[in-house]
Amino acid sequence: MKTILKIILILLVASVVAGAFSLAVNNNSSTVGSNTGGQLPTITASNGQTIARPEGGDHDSGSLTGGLGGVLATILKLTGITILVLVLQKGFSQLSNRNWKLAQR
Amino acid sequence: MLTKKKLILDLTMLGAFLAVSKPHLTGIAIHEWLALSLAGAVITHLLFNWEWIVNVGRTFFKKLWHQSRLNFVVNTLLFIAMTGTLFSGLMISQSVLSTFGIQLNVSQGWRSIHFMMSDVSVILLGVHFALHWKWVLTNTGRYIVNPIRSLFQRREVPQVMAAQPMRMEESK
Repeated sequence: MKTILKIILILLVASVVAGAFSLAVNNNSSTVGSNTGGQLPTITASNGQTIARPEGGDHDSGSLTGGLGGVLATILKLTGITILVLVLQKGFSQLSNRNWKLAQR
Repeated sequence: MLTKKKLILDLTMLGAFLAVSKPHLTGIAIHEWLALSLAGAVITHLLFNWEWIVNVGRTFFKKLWHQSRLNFVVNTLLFIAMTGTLFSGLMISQSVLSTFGIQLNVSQGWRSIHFMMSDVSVILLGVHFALHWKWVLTNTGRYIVNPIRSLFQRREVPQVMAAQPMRMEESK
């Protein structure tokens, strides 16, 4: 198959996935109702005063020290997951080998 | 040669993924553009492994259990998670879409989907990496560690060559 066709196929599948996400988000926000239009839900204090919601995800400029710590944390997560999966794989293969030997006896 | 290209692409993608996973490091503009180029790298990665995808896809429902099947499921989930992360990232984009003059007034739900899908992507990438551990280990040794090692060994060769005539003279 030509490369262009393959790329179109990949993009097509990706757009189907994106469409599914879009449907999920739109359905969710229409059921919530108050959360449309890019507005955050307001927080109201006990005396009725509206409190400004802290923004959590905007980092216009990078910070090397904070960022490297975060990258290190991601590397640690990836290492942990990799070790866990490798240990599980080893365990399963040993278990199946043991069962196979027992069946032979 | 294709394996070497695959390895270089995969290691570059891993580096880009690590940088993209923490916007604190790069700032929001680089985070968005790097993520967009990572999507291009993902497409190239899929093109490099196209035959495997087609072959396992064909036999997926024929054989009841095989290692490739688990790989296929993990890879599909990773593709979905990464597409979700990229698409939701585009929806809440501050830099990429404004470059094209697009301004979206979208639901705040995209932000939570973006964070959730990026966390899921990290987990699935770990599983994907573990399932290809032998391949990574073998080819990193073959194409990165061994060439570097042979560079240092070549430097030692002239000393050995220089020592040989002296032995010849001694034996005479």
